[in-house]
Amino acid sequence: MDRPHFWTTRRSTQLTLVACWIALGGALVCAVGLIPFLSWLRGTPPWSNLPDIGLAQMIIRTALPLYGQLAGGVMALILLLRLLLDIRREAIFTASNVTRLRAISWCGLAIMVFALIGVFTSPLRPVFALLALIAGFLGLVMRVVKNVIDNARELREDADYTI
Amino acid sequence: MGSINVHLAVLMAARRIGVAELAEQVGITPANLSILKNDKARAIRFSTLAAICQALGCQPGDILSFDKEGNAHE
Repeated sequence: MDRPHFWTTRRSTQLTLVACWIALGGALVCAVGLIPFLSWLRGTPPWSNLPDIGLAQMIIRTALPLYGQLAGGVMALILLLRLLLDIRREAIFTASNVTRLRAISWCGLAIMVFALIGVFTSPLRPVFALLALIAGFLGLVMRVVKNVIDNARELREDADYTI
Repeated sequence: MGSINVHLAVLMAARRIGVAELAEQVGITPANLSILKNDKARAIRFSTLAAICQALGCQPGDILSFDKEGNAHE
């Protein structure tokens, strides 16, 4: 006789919910601690050797794009939480979830835009370039996932309305 | 593209049979029969169509017709 799997769909959804809440908490910590962290970073080699950029300038040029990305990230996390709560209610292939996935993909693209701004304004160019690449790729992935769920929604509606 | 029209409401009125009674005879829920009766269905199983024809004493062509000018359900 097969043993029942520990990782049921419900437990997996619950784990993802917990991860999203942790990520939201992490985003809040980042929002609060960003400027003190940048101040500390500015005094640490090799960032302490940056020419022509004062601490205030570095904070503005680096913190603003980062806060833009954080806002996009928090929005995406809130949408993911609502999506997961719907999945837990077994309302999966719905028009509202398609809208949420579309919005999450736009959040990814917005994060990419803010990261690209950081590439041009901040001394931390490699970090912002990497963030732009990751965010753009994930935004694209979410776009494809949205298309998949949208097709699944149509198939479900066809099945629901097959008498 | 044309559409398929469902004339179940007309046939039910002619046979003087209600949704609940016909649904029970056909073996589907009254909610699903209402979806069919109100032309909201996207597809019908042959088994369901056969059960309806049996219950109403009719042919599939009495229940369904093709409208060349109609819009298909999306």
